[in-house]
Amino acid sequence: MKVLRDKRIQFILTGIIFILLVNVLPIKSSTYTILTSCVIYSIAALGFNVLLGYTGQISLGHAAFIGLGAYVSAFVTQDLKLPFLVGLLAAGVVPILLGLVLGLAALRLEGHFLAIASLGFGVAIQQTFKVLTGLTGGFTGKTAPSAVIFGAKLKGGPEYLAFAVIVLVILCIFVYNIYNSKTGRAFIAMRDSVHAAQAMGIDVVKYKLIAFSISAFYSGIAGSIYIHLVKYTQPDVWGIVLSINLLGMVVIGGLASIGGSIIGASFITLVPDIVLEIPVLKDIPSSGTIFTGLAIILVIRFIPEGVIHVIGRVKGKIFKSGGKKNELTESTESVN
Amino acid sequence: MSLLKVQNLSISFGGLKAVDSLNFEVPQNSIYGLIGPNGAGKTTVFNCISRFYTPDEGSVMFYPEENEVDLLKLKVHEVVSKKMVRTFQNVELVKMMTVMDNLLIGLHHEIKTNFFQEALGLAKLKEKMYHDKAREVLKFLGLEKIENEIAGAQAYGVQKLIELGRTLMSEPKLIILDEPAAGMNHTETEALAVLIRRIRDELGISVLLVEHDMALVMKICEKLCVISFGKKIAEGTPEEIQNNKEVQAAYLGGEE
Repeated sequence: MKVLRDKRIQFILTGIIFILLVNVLPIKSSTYTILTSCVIYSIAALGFNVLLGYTGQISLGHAAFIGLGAYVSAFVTQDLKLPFLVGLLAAGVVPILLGLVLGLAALRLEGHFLAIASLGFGVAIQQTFKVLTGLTGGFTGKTAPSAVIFGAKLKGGPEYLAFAVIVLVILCIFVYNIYNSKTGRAFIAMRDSVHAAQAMGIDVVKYKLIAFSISAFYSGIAGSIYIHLVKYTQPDVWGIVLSINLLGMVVIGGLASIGGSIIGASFITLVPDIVLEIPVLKDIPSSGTIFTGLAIILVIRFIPEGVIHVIGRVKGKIFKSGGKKNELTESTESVN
Repeated sequence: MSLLKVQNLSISFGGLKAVDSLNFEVPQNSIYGLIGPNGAGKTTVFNCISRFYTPDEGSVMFYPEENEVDLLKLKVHEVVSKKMVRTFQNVELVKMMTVMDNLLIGLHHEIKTNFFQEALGLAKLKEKMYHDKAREVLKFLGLEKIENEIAGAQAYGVQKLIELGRTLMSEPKLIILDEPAAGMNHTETEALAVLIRRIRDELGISVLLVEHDMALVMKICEKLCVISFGKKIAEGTPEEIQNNKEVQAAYLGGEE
């Protein structure tokens, strides 16, 4: 059973089980859309966690990267008539260029100064979406075709959800591998002590730019999967609310944790929909948003390390496992 | 033949001259101490040598092998690849990482895996040999049992050893230690003295250290440089320094 201890195998198995379940269980078609949204935001949160959780850099403009990915993917598939997978790849690569620009700003700014600068950056990009009508269609919005892979059209519902899950699993494995290598160690060393990192030969400029590139890439991929699900977008979607939600996902789920990113993303995505199912609450206007805010406050007050750590603790109590290796996400508070 | 040559080094912050025309040379294969009262500018000198500060004047030349290295031309992160590496006054470990991973950070510049190999998980195989090297270092320090434990959970003295181990990973010619004994108890300091000697004798690594624990300094250093208010006031063997009137005055406050 040693194979099962490998996190990467766990990701793959979880993905397969999830895909099988959603295909077998009787699920409404609207539920598929919600679940696919969870997967999409999980991808974005995963990338955002590379930045915030591992490298300690904040950004309040990340919605712009997701939006850019969405527009690029729509442009490549709709206007250039290129295959969906080309659009997906372009949606990942193009935001990297923007990520590098924000990364360069991060070289000179820290903490709340970086937060404000990235906020401005996000707003500027969102405004650009409004005027750059050639790419985005401006306020009219932009449509995108259904995803087609090697001639096979992915129908909405279970097929597209399965595709999104596969992408998520691959990206989880990528990020897991990076965390457990030279680059991941450099990220964490930089976050905990810039001076020590430099003294050990870590080029802070290089690794900050890498972190911003990875998170921009993940955001762009999320944007691409989003637009081929919804098939339409307009600039208002890519504003500050989404950026803050992304921050909420990572904080609620757990900083510097892959599982935490997914749990946080699912939480923020699902809460408004669940609230709408409850009889009394659904009559209150914007009750979903209110409950999301409430949930963030409660989590920060009672489990500041994130939901994933509660799960970890419960699991630890049940199995009493002593595996300490790679538990980088372990909270340090108790240790110091 | 000297290993490190600091010439005419000066740096000021605002109007304060923190280091003033300082000259000293660390001989090859030696244990050299830089001492002085609080605020004398010792750590500032270290920061200039390790490139955290750029001095206003002077030169810092390093001779790890035949060729000479002008340290002032390097960026901070490039220094370690020239075979000189430092520790910090307050332990700067990645507390939530394992001891092993902390040591691997010390080998950062030597690990030649690229980003794509890492993402695809191909780097793991290449990293095996670096793990072996880390185990050797841990064995040298007597820490082989805690390889997979979290660094931040270790006692302070042990954390200092781990930080020292991290510097040994890159096989340097010179390590500069900023108050290695600070916060250690008597027994730990004794063990540290033995260890620093072994680093020099068995690994052939020279040591430059700033330290307040006079007993330690007098015991292990072959040569000392005393600075006060950024200026060198004496240089010599521990015996010479102990009998130097000016040094006594700087530490204890002499008659004017």
